[in-house]
Amino acid sequence: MAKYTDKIIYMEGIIVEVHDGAVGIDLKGRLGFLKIPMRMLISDYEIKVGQEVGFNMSFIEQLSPDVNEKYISNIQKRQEP
Amino acid sequence: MSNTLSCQAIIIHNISKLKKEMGKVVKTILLRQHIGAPATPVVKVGDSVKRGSLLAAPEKLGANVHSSVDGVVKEITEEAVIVEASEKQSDDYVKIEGENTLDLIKAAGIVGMGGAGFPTAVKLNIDLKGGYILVNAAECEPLLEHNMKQIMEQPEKTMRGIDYCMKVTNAAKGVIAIKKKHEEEIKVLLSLQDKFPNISIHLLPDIYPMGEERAVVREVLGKLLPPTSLPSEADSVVINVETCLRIAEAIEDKKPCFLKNISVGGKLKKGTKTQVFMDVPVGTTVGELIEMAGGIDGEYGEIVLGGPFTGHAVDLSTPITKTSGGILVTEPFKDLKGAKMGILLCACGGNLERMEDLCKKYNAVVTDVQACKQAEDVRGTLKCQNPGNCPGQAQKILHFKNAGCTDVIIGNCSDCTNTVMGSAPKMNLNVHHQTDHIFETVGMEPMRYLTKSKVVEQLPVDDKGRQLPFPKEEEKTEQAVEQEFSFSTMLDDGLFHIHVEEGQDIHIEFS
Amino acid sequence: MSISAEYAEEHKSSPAVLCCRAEEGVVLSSHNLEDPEIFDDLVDQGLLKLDGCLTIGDVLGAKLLKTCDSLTPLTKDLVALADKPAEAAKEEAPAVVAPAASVGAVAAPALGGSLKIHIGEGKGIDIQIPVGALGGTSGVPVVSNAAQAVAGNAGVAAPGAVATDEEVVVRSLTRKHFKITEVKRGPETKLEGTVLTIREGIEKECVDSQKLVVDLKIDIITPDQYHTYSNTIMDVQPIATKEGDDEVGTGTTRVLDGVVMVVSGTDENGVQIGEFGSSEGYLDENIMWGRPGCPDKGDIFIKTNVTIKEKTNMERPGPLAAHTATDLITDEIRKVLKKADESLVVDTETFNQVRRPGKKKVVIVKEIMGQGAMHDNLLLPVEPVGVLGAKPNVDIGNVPVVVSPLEILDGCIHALTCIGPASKEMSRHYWREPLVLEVLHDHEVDLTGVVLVGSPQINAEKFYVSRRVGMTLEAIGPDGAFVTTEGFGNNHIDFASHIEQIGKRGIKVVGMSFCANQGALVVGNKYMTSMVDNNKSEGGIENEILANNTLCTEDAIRALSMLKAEMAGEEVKKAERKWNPNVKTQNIELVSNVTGKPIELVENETSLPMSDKFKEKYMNA
Repeated sequence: MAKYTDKIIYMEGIIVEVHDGAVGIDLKGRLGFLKIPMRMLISDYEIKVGQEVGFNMSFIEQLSPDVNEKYISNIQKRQEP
Repeated sequence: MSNTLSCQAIIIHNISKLKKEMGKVVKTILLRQHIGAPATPVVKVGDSVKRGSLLAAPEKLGANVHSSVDGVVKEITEEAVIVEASEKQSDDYVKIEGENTLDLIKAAGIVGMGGAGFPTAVKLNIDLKGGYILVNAAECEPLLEHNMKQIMEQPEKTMRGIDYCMKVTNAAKGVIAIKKKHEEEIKVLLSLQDKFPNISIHLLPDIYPMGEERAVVREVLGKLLPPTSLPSEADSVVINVETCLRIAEAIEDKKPCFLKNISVGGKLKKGTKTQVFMDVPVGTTVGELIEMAGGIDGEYGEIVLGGPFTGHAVDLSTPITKTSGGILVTEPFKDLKGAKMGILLCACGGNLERMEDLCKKYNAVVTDVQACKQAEDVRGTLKCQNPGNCPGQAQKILHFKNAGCTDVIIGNCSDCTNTVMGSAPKMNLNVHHQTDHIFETVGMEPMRYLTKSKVVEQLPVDDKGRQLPFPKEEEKTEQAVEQEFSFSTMLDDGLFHIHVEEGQDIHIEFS
Repeated sequence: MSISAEYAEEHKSSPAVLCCRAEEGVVLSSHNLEDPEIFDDLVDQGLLKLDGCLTIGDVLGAKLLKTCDSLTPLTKDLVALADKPAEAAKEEAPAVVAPAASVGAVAAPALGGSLKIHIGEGKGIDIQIPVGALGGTSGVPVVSNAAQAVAGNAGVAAPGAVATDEEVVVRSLTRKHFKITEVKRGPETKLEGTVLTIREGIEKECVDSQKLVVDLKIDIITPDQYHTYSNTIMDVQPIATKEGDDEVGTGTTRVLDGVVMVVSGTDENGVQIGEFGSSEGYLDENIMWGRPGCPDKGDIFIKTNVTIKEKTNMERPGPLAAHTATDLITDEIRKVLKKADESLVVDTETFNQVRRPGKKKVVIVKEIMGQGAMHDNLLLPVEPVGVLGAKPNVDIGNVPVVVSPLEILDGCIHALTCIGPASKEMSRHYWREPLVLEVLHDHEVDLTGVVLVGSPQINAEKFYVSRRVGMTLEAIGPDGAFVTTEGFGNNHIDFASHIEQIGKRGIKVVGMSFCANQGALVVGNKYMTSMVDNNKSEGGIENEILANNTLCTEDAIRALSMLKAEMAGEEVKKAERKWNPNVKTQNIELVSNVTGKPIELVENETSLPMSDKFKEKYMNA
């Protein structure tokens, strides 16, 4: 469990990619990029590139120093030609 | 910060002195002193004008604007006609003409002088069919005293003004709503009862707000109107007490409306006690009035035109209008050092602009803005659904807390402020009221907890229906008034039906 | 903040706390009371203590004895309960209609045998009292007789309304099971005994059939090969076909046991189709075996690994092409299954769609995804879980479609949905839908049908479809309804709206969704009082374990018990503020105590093997 999750931060971003099943969002202030499936976007309007979005998030924390081999293995598979 | 402000004050003082040295006093007479469009000037630059000369007339909803001095039109801008006053001023004025009461009120350019500025001739152009003229003498804003002084000095003319209003609107009754604490004024008004038998007095508790139009209707007539309604829906018109006096002047003296009673208080060299200036010519600057009251005493925070609740910050060169009420000079602001401020907006206090201005002056950062549940936006202005009766604020305070605020600024009424105090301090939020710096200046306790009752006892009535002053600590008798009511009963279908059209104190008993 | 009279009525049993200062002698109304919704927060902040606090129902209409400030919990010493117009008064005069626009207070103290009503001030007051309630008063004897006469008539009418409670079988569906023990490749697709052969080279036809499919491989995975890496699992499908001209949902269906179709794939760049929260990895570590939508341990997988054109993994035609290409194989198997000899049938199962007149009518509303691309479903194909003849839910406009419970169980949904794997309802899920099965077999309720409704992307469309759900249910007129949804996200907005639309028509509703920690509902309304959380994961989060958090029998049982309780007028306890897995455990216990049947809970991801390296690391650490 993350320890600092109650620190809620309001964030904004810009929709930069619209797919049938996902949108890509650049976080304002060069804070990263987020790609989310459609159902994670609450939309009152037709979705367009350039629209601004807002959401609450918290800091990303490591859960432990350990590496989960399962995910390592998946990453390696993906990198195989 | 306060240093900069005081420097500014000195500079303006100098300008004001400069004007005097040159021996030329100018009056900036605003074209928009009322609700509606600015009036259109009817004079040209260079025209000679006298006190009472018509300067501008409305094309749509609005009111006539008259010169408040003898002199020459020096400049006409989009906002104002600027009249350079002659050295010699006469007491005379240009008389208005009109066939009937409404014409005269219209010609005089009278507007609601409590601050709203609604053209009075339009307001009174109604048939109340035996309803009520409710006279707002609540003088609800703390520190303002010019309404009470007017009642003490010109009670009869004021009463006659009310009487004219009643006649022109076909109202059967006039009711003066006044705070119970003004015992002397009430006595004076009661002494005129025989001359004006249809005008009675309704006592108000000493809490804020009681002067709001719908609050007056609710207190006097017991009807709570929705924020979108006008008092006419309760067969009544609410009119400010000074407006009544100006109506009497228009009708009896054919005098246009170009004078205003003003209270000046706060951080003044003569002390903080409010000084009242009667019949101040419209266009006189805030600075001139402050000079008349003795001048500012050292460093100050801001100058508020209006009252502590509904006023806004102005500078010394701001001219007064027919709707101006008070001028209050405050202590310098405390430095909150970037505190995270939550603004609780409501209809009673300042608008968002005013609250943001205060936050800036307090050196606080606006972190969250919430509006009271009862604040309803009616055509761009917040109106309270039930003025003076709190709908609860804990939820808003929680919101501020969750938004990370450390401080809260409110402009709420006595009741709502009391509610905020019920939760905010416990959540470690510092509470500031928009009147704090003003009250502190004059040594008044800040608005925090409500300890007075919202209900006051009304004046006793004798057997002839005349109101009497309260007997001094003697036994008070309760008077029950029987109301007419109608009812019908029916027996059918095994149900016993009772239908009551309207009534009070209805008792139904089966035994 | 102060509350409305209606709201106060709904929260009668919540604590009564003053919202503002109230003066001594005031008759307490809803306007004096704070919204109970915020009490938890206030208690958390130490601002409020509710010990000994009266309820809203207790204090409404009672007089306040002392001037109190805001947030004062109303206790016995502060409120004059004795003077309050007691409940007794209501019982004696049940038809007293409160004056709607009255300003003054209404008080009706009941003293002895008499009814007294006092109204401070009011307008348009109508009072109707059944004279019988006045109890043989000497004043109105004639009417008393009239009342008896009316009651007599009602007595005559009553027996006619009693209906016969015989069950009616509307239609039946027969499933003939064929056992498969081996799947191999060969020159032609055929079914011999328990051996299924798939034609070699069929892959090319699959690839050629779809413009967007650039490659397709078939892996036959036997139980000993479960520790095999796989790309994300897009669907698990039964292999079934209709006999003759039978339509889906009726007649006879032939199905292969011991084998399932599994669709998986990536785009040309190796990006998983669906991309997010994918279940790629070793099959044995990522599949929650035995879930309705999952393969069972022992099943042989016919797994296609479809490669689609680059960058089409998130566009609608991409996943659809992968499914359609796979279905070409399934369809060839269906053809041989159709012709298979009757002697190979190992088991026959019959599902009856039963109506139970006189029992409480219930409807199941299943919200299916319809936000586009991987959030789509093909509805009502010709063959069970086929492609041919089906209409994409998104193209239908996500509007409600009414299907029979047997159509659901016969594969009328081909699930393209590729949401988070843990909450995805796979095609096989519907084939074994636990809620439909539980409700269909329960003798105490009358299942009228299943309403499928899509979840569009834009809020306006969400409300468009939820209003249609409301109207559909109004037309059906059931006593109760289930609303289920898969996963979480913006679908919770329409999920909530469906419940509101149904609830406001006076129909009892139980909602079912994955919520727990991560899927906490984004919106709510006053009809969302009964909810069942489909979560099974340990941490209450969506993870990459296939079907981990989908609706299972244990959830169906809880939901059905809850709806029955609601329809019987019992109260469902308010949910706790934060997700508490113990609520489920307690409910399960309560249900099994009543039914006398133990309910076995399914396992979660902790039952799955950890990867060897992972295990090594932790077990030796």
